[in-house]
Amino acid sequence: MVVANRRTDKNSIMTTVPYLAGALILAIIPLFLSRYGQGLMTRFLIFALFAMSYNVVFGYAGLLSLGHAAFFGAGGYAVALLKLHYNVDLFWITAPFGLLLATFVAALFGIVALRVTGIYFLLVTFALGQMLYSLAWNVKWLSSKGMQGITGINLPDLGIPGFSLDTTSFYYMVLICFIISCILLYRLVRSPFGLALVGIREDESRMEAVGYNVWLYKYTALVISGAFAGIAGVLFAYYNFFVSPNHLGIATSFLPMVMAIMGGLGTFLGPVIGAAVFIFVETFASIFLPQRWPLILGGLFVLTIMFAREGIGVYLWKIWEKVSHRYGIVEG
Amino acid sequence: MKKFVILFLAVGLLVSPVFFGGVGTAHAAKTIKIGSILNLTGPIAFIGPLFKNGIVMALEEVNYTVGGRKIELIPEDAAADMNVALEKAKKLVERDEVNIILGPLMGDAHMAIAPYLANKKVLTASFYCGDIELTKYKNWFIYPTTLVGLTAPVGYYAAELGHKTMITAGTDYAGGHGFIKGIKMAFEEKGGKIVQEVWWPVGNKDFGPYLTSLKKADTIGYFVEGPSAAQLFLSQYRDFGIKIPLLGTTLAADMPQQITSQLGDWVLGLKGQALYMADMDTAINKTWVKKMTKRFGQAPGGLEANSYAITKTILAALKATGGDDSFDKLWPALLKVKIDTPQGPLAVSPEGVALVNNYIVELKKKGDQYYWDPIKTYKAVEDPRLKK
Amino acid sequence: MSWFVINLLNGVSYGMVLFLIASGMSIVLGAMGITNLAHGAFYMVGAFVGWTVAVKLGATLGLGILAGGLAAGLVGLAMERGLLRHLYKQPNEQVLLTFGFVYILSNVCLWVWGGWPRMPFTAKFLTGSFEIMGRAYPKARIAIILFGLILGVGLWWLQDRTRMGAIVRAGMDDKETTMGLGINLELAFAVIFFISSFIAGAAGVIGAQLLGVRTDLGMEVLLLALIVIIVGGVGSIQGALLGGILIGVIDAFGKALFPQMAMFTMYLTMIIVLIVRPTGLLGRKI
Repeated sequence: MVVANRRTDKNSIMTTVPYLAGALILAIIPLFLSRYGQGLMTRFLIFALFAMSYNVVFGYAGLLSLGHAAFFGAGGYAVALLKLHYNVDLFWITAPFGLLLATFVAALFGIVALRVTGIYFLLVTFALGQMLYSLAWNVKWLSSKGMQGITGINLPDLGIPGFSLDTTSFYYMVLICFIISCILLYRLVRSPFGLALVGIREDESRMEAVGYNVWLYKYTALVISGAFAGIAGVLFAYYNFFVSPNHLGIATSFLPMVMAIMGGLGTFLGPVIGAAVFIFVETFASIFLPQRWPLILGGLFVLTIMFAREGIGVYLWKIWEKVSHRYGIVEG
Repeated sequence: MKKFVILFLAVGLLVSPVFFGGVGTAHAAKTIKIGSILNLTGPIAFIGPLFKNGIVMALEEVNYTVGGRKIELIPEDAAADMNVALEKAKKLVERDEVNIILGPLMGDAHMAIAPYLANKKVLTASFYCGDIELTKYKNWFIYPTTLVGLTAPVGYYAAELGHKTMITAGTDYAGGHGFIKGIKMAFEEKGGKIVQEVWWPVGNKDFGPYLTSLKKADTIGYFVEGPSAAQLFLSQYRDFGIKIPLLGTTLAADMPQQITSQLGDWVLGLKGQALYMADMDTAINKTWVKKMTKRFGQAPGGLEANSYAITKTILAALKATGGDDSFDKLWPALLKVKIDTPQGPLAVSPEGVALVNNYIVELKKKGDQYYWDPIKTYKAVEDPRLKK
Repeated sequence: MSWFVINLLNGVSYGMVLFLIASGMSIVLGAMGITNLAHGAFYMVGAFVGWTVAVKLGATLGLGILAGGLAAGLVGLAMERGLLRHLYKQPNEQVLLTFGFVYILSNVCLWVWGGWPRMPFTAKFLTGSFEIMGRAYPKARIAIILFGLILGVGLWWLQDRTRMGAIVRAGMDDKETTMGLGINLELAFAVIFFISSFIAGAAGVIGAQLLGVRTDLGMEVLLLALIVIIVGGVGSIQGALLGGILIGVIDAFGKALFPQMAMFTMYLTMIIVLIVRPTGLLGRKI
């Protein structure tokens, strides 16, 4: 597995090079894209981040959650509410606020949900997410006039005089957030903490026997994951210009789950691949086959399970390994 | 891990050509692109194709040409989800560079896309009403009228029937509140009294608890959010043996034939507000119905009539500008349009709200065909709030 | 008083539909450990097939229920034998696979039956209403209650009083030992999955009176099933019955008393149950 693929220090320069190359390509690709393509890439980055955050609890700690949109939506609603009620646009205020709110919601959820494990964890997180969803429907303060949800969000104000964001520069802003989050998440999953999470996923009772406070580890993982989902939510609110109750509920909770499983659970970049496949397939299928796209998307899930059970990311990786071994491209 | 990244990039490069689609076509294109946001999948998937039929018919009549320029229709699926609607609006504007968008249908989707489209100066038409809030953006062609304007005749008609008291019953979301408000404002304006207001949540299935807690009143003015909910509401209204007469809205004659034909004999005599009836006795309607039936193999209903009238209006405006689809030319031309549609005469108010006839209809039966008989016409009804 | 009785009946009849929706999913989840997100989609397939038989072809409602159940059961069986069978003890893969089937089946139904919703339907002799305490009450709803009770008793008997049920309960506790005794657990699981999907399909036809027939039912029904399972607890017929009726009754009184908080009352119940008993009212303790 890719998780176990840890390198020695000697190789560490070698491993950072491809990441830098990847970042570089993400950095120059918008120059060749139409505005629509840039928007789509922005969307992909946001959902990739969302799926990566989900991967921390699901992939590494093994907690199958169906309420992750609550954290994502909380981040988005923080942005929207600040705009609606206090007319605050400044990113340096809204972003920390969204992050805090998402973290807070995750901390609350964790207290209730982590009393149970397995399938019950899924059911409890689903219930909590739906609770927030119904609150957002029913509480007037959480809606702007004439709709359920909050509209009228603009691209964020970065507080730099004489500079305002457009589609392209917003993409770069999202990219920077994405890269910083990636680095932090990478450190997290490679730290002793991250390894302990994998240990808990594989054998909870043994970890407990060795003296780990399993509950605390899971709880921390959930809260950290919630915080990153919150960042994705903040960015999404700016990207989408509005938030709606759906962003808190089950409809959105399914997305990171599907992306993470499809790309490769518990691998670092798997969810990113999953997000790419999901977003691009959904978008293009629905452009070219407006009435039949759900068939393509559903079929893709089934095919993934049949032919690439560990995830498309891992599947591609294995093909690549075979090919590269045959032609001797890769060292050892 | 390195290979992982490389692979990832390879996949990215493979799909990238699709992104470039929008580049370079901007100036070369002489065609007028009209985008349409329809619901082709999701809970109201049957509605999208019907709206599309109306648009296609209007465009085929002019052979996809206006003012010497070709027209290209780009239909998109919004899956009855406002997030998707916004995605598709962005796609239409940024990739296809359209200046005109027809649809979407649902009010929340209107609100979701309105600020974006106002900012991009895209002429947008609503398929079936819109909140009065939309008029402030000055780029919305709201057909047939605002939410309140549409249902006002229900209130007027209830008062004319001599009803003194009314229960309003509607779906608890922004659009539902708008429609119910129209009934209420008009009924109270004529001296009627609302004795009870019943609200149920969107997607409600079991109307039993509401139907069994109704007070006494002369009539029920109701709005349910879609044909499937209307079916549930009506069948449960029957099953619970409620005797208070119904005066409904939007889902009376506008219901496609497939839905009306399922209702059954017990609904004969059901009255409600409607915009269009397939057997309206005007020459223009008769030829249109014939053409539609021939082209699409089924008789048209109110939904096709709506999208047809909208497309006709836009074509008339495009003709007036000589085929110039830039917003600054098109908008003033649109406000001056006066045409006849199968639905009746159409004009546009300075706010961009259509002024059309509104009808009160009754369900009747001829042989084994159900049909809606217009029993009263309200000419060019306007939102009472816009008159002031 | 009559208001109370009527609303109680409303709640119980709705609750019976909820019970029928959730029971199959709950059993599959408890007995086989399979999270079948496509359960709601099976309900929808059953509802459409039942409509075709009972309304379009004009056969009796009973035949419609049978046809709907069989159709859903066969789709379920095909999915279990063809794909899910390889995925026991792999919840992540099950989730993705069955979620894919929600998309696929919804779109196939859209393709075959068209997107327009179907009118709620029931048998001819069940249209119209009874007089209950001076108020009209729909016969069809009473029929739903009876149906639910009969099916409930039948399922309970299958679960607690038959060899089949005993095998499943044993398999739940210790798969290896059960198989070691020479019991064909594979076959048992296939049968369970078929029965579960069959009930979902039959529920689609019975519940059509209340929920109608539409192509988006798959997702909606799934949510309802999850709510009932949360309240009642995983893995038992009694739990699904209690959960269904409780949610149904609370929903009915919630709608009658606090109309504008309707959706909220249901979720609030769910949260309260979760805080008091995280594994549901009749769920196994863990």
